[in-house]
Order: sequence, then C-alpha cells, then structure tokens
Amino acid sequence: MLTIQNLSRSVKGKKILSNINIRIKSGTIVSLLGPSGSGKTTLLRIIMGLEDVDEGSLSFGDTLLSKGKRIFIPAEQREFALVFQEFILFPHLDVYKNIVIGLNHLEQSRRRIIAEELLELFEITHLKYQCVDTLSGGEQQRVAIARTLAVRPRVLMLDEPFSNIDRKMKEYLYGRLQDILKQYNMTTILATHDHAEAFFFSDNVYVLKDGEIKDENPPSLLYTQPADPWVASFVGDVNYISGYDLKTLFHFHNQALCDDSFYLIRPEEFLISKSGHETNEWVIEKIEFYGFYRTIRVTLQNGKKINIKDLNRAHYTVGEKVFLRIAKTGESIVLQSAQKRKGTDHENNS
Amino acid sequence: MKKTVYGFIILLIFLLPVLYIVYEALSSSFSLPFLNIPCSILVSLLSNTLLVSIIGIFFAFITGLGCAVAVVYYEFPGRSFFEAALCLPLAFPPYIVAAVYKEMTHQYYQFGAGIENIWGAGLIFGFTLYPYFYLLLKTTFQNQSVIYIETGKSLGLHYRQRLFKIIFPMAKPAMFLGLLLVIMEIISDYGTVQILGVRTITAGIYDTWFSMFNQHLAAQLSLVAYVIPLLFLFIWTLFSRNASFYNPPNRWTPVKKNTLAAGQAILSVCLLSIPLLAGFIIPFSILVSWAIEKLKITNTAFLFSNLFNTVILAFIVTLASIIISMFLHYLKRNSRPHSFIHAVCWIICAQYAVPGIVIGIALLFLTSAFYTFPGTRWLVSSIFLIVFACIIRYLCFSFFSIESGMKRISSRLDELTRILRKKSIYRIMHIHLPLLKPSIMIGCIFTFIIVAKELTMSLVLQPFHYSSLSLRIFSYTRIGMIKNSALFAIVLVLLSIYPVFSLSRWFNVQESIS
Repeated sequence: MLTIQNLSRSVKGKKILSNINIRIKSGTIVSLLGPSGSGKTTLLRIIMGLEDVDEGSLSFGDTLLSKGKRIFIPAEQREFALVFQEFILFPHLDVYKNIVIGLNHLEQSRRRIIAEELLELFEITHLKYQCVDTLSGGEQQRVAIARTLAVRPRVLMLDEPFSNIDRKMKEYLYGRLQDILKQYNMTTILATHDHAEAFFFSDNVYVLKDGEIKDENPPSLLYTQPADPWVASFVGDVNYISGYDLKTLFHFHNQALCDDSFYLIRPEEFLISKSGHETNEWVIEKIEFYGFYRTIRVTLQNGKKINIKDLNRAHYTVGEKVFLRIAKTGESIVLQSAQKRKGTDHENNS
Repeated sequence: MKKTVYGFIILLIFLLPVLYIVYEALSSSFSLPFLNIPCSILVSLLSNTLLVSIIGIFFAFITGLGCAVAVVYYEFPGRSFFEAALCLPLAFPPYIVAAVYKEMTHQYYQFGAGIENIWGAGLIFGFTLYPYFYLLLKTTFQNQSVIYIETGKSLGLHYRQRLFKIIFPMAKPAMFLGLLLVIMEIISDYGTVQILGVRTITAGIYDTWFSMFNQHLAAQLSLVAYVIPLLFLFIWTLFSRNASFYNPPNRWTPVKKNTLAAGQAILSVCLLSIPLLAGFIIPFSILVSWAIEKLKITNTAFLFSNLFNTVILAFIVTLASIIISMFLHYLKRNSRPHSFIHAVCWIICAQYAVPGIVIGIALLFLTSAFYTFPGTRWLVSSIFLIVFACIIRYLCFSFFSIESGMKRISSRLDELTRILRKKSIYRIMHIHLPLLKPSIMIGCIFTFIIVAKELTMSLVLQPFHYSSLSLRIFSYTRIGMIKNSALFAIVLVLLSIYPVFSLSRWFNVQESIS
C-alpha cells in the first residue's frame, strides 16, 4: 500500500500542495482529478521521488520513502515509474531500444521477450525498428507506456496521458490500457483534468483543487454525492435551482428543502416535451448539437434559465414553447445545497 | 530563376580555389594523380597529421566534456567563474601557446623531454581547442530538458547509465561538430606544427610550394588535405542520415545542479584549473613577464600598425561575411528544401573544411596565372587576397549564426507583412533585422576572433611590407625570438578576450531562450 501522510509543499511561499493524505491499495487504479495548477503533476513527481516536500511522509508498504525534506529511497531505486505528459521518448533510439532501455539488468533474450510481448499488446510490432520521431501522437503514447510497463514498476503513474492525442485514438487507448493494467494487476495513479477519463479508469478518485484534496470517492459516488458544489460542477454540468423553484416549478417536495437555498441538479435529470400538464411554459433559447445528445437552454418569462441534456431525437427549434419536468423523484438528484455562485463555467442559473 | 543565377555566380566564386586545385592536381604530366607524390613522404605526412589530430582531439574532447559536465550538472564554489573562464583558451592562437611552451622547455629542460614532437603538438591543440567541445557540449547539456534525465530515473537508470545511455548519446551532434571544428583547425594549422617541428600535411604543402616550388605536388597534397575533413563530414552524414538526436519537449525545465561535498568540490576545482592554467593562465603570465622584460626594445610603432592591420582585416572580413550571409539567406528563405540554393549554401559553408593553406595556395596559383594581365597587380599588392580567402573559409560562422536566428523567425511573419501589403525592404528593415540582431552580433564576434587569430592564409598571401599581429608573432617565434613578440601576443589575446566572453554569455542567453 502506498501511503501519503500530511504532505505539504510550497514554492516561493506559494502553497502547491497542502496536507495531502492518500492511501492507495496495491493493484488498484486511482485518479488525481483536478484543473490545471491544482498540484496533480507535483504530487506525482513527489511520489516518484523527483521533488522533495516541506512536510509529510511517503511510504510504500513498510518502507519509508521520504519524510519531510529527506529522501530515503531515490527515484531510480523506488521501482515506481512515471509516464510524462509529453511522452519523452528518447529521440536517438528506435522504438525497440526505447522499450528495453530500463531492462539493462536482464539478459538480451529476456529483454527481447518482454519487448515483443508489449509491442504485441499495444499493437505496435510493425513499428519496432522505427525512429520515434516518425510516430504519430497515439503511437508515441503507446511506446511511452509500453516502455514504462517493461520495467514492471510497483506503482505506475500516468500524467495526463491522453491530453495530446486525438479523440478516436484516445477512445482506442482507453480500452487497451484498461485491459493491460488489469492484466498486469498494477497499482496505478492517473493524473487528469478530464472527469470522464478518471471515471472510466479508476477504482477511486481524488479531486484536487489549489493543492488540497476536496473529495475522495469511487466514481459513481463522486458523481452523485460530491462533497461540495465545486466538486459537483467539476465532475459534470449542474443547474443551480432555488428550493422555492423546485417546489413551485417542478413540484419537487422534500422536507429538507429550504426556499432560500440553492440546489444543484444535473442537466440530464430534466425531461423536455412539447406538451405536458405543467403550468409553466419554457421557451427554447439555444440548442447545441453534440451528436448523440443535445444541450438545450430553456428560459421562463421571468428570466430563469435551465440547461438540459437531451438524448431524445424529437425536433425542437429555438423560440419554441416546451414543458419541463424532473425525470426522477427522490433526494439523489439533488446533489448539494449551496449559496448561489456567479461566474463559474459549470453552473447555470435558474 | 534569378535566385538560381545569383546562387550559381556565388558558388563559382567560392569554389574557384578548390576547382583550381583539382585542375592543377589532376593536370600533372602523369595521367594518374598522386603518382608525383613519393609514397613515403605522403605516408609520413598523413600519419603525422592523423596522429596529431587523434591526440589533439582526444585531449580536447576529454577536457571539453569533463568541464561541460562539471559546470552544467554540479554546484561547487567558483562554478560561475569556471563556467566563463574555461572559454578563455579560445582567445589564444595555438601557435603562441606552442611557442611559449617551447621556449619554457628550452629554458627549464630538466622538467621534461621537450614538446617538439607529435605528443607535444597534440597536447597543445588539446589545451587550446577544447573550448570548441566545451562550449558546444555545455550549451547542449543546458538545452537538454531535465525531463529526459527524470524519465531515465523513472525507468530505474542509475547515474552512469543516464550519462551513457541518454545524456551523451543525445549530445552526439555537438560532439561531432566539435570534432569537425577541431580536426579542421588542426589540419589547417601551420604555425603550431612548424614551431614544434612536426611535419603535417599543411607543413608539407607549404614547404612543397615555397621551398621546392613544385606546384603540382603542392596541389596534389592540398587535394589530400581537403579530402580528410570531407571524409569525416561524409561519414557523419551517412551515420546520422536517419537518426534524430534532440526532440525538445513542449516544456523546458533547467538542469538541477547537484551540490558537491567539500572533498569532491576541491577535486573538481583542481581538475578544472588544469586546462585553464595550461591553456591560458600559464602562457599568458609568461607572456606578461616577457613583455615587461622586453618592453624597452619593443617597437610600439610596429605594434600599433600591426594592431591596426589586424583590426582592419578582421573588420572588413566580418562585414563582408555578414552581408554575403544575409544575401544567401534571402536567396534561401522561402525556397524549397533540397533546392539548388540550399545546395549552394551547403557547399559554400563546407569551404571551412578546406584547409587555409589550400585556399591560400590556390589563390596564389590563380593570381600567378593572371599576373601578366594589366591592372591586376593590385591583387597581390593589397590585402584583397587575404580578405577573399578569409571570406571563403570563414563565411560559415556568420552564415550559421544568422541561420539560427532566421529559423526563429516564423514564415507566418513574412506572410503577415504581405497581407499588410508591405514591401520586402520593410520586412527586412523592420522585422527581420531587429529580430536577427543577436544572431548577427554573434556571427560578427565569431568571425572577428577567427580572422584576428588567422595565420596560415595571411602567411601565404601577405603583400610586401604587410604585417598583422599574428604574422609578426610568427615571424619572431620562427627565429626563436618569441620574447620580443610577447607584447604583440598579449595584445592579440586581449583583442579576442572580450569577444570570447561575449560568446560565452551568448551561449548562456541561448540557454535561457530555450
């Protein structure tokens, strides 16, 4: 088990990480989810042993790796491995030599077997002797991960591994990598800003903001029961609706609802229809097409607005009058009560 | 079409000496080339050249590499001083250092068996030419993002493995460029080997021409001397054809220096002091003591006139080189890769591989052929031939400096000025020149230092009653009167010190830009 206790790090007086506590069980995949500058990469570098800390300790099993500024086990002896965001393939080596560079302690024949197994797993056997400069982003990424897996690290860390590759390749690699990680039963830490990526891969997700852990849960719990409004809006879109509006506009009754408070509801919880029994008619203000779903912004005469994620194929036009209801009943749809905030990307006012 | 014509004319002018040497070498009375050269002489000249080159390159490489690794990867007291000071031997022409040490060993013979042999010549070249390796490798190591080292750590590679599997292999282009520069300097050198009595191919060419008056043999030896660096260039081109060595990541992070423990720091300071002492401090101090000793009999009028001649020569060559380089770059810019103009530029820059003596001899052949034509006497009675020879050989310095700047100017900027309907002259004056200023400056500094120290071509092509600092120093040292030229040598070194420091600073600026 990898244990991080009370870890803090500052650079030039600015807190980069503050009081981080993480426990990762062997063989699990966890994600560090957070926006740019939240400290994900720094945390990975600290775990790898590439940076020291101001306070706190890091241990793997019974072995203390570092405590405060003292590093007991240097990076190259930890048997951890980190895949950097930019892949960092060695340009003077071909694909095969890149993969076996960390296997010097093994015999030539053993090295070849490991490399060929990985080349096959990642479907890059045909690139074996190719110069790494000529590879596409997706191919480079596969080589970088294969090279890291070749050394069979005790902990594999991936820093934004899919941020530099196109969507189609990303989807292909998601599946491939997940299968391989399961096959290797490797403790993995994934740093990402993409909640979908974190949800797809992880057994557990740590949400970071400004160097602090804001939430920690398995993906489904994190989505439905986020710790605070910021986490709720970071891991998905939300609408802010007052308790009074929930009662009057959507007939949503719950004893806990307070008229003056605001509640967060995901856009996919709303159902839109051309006819209905509801008293309020909403007007479509904007439609955004995303392929298998659309986001529709509807508004009331008094200016209240709601964003809806619509998966139906019914034809709607801007300016059309529609009816709205909440799909489910029950508390699970109400994520959080919160003070209404302004100016964030993930919120919509009602 | 216009570009091709201009390119062709410039190419013809630059290739004139080499073409003439080839013609002269192959048009001897025998049908087979090289039949005129006695085998034993050729073998001896070649083996001497090769041995001196190998020893010189070995010492220069080991010293340059060691110094670069120490100042880039480690922190110790005096590191910043050493980082700058280790470039200083570049200000010293090797023949002055050779003359100083020769005189010293004559005075204090009990300290050694003398340096007038191949090993001595190799050592002198090693201590004076190592800054080529040092500067190139230092810049390469500083520009190599630390993320490659961290990736190595992440893959479990230990310090030595990281050095030999990642850091050094990725610096191969810098190593080869350093090797090429050093080998060209050694092959082209006449003064050092002459002073130390080692007969290399350049000495052979010089003696064949000036003592034996054998044009064909001199031309044939020149051809051999030309082929050696070209062979290296060819081998490297073959070797690196499909290789890639540096792929800068999006995010560059500077190298983190490891602080050395007290004992290691003292050892580093001692080791780094050796090349600095041997290549600069000792010869310079001795020169100062000799200059003081001979101050009364030093002719200051000669000193000022020689200094003036040196500065004027270096200035004219520098200015002309920058103008020609700029012109070539404008011919090259926006032309397709592998086009004729690109080939022209490559061939012109490859003229640095032609030993100075070859260019000098070729120009002498040419002028002797045209000497009878009226109105051509000014060619030999002025410094025109030296200027021309220096431009041919040293144009690559200004060309490559400007090229490094040109590469940073996006072609989008050119397109933008077109969209804004600005004329070409506006683009050059208001966009390119301000952006190219640092690159032009570095080209100027490089060319100035090299030309100020130049000896071989000046020796072959000097007009009557003309002397520069390097010619004066060599004429004294040749007759064993180095002490009398000490002040001239000090002035020449001081003339190069400021540009050398600027060069070192520029290399650091390149680091921060990266």
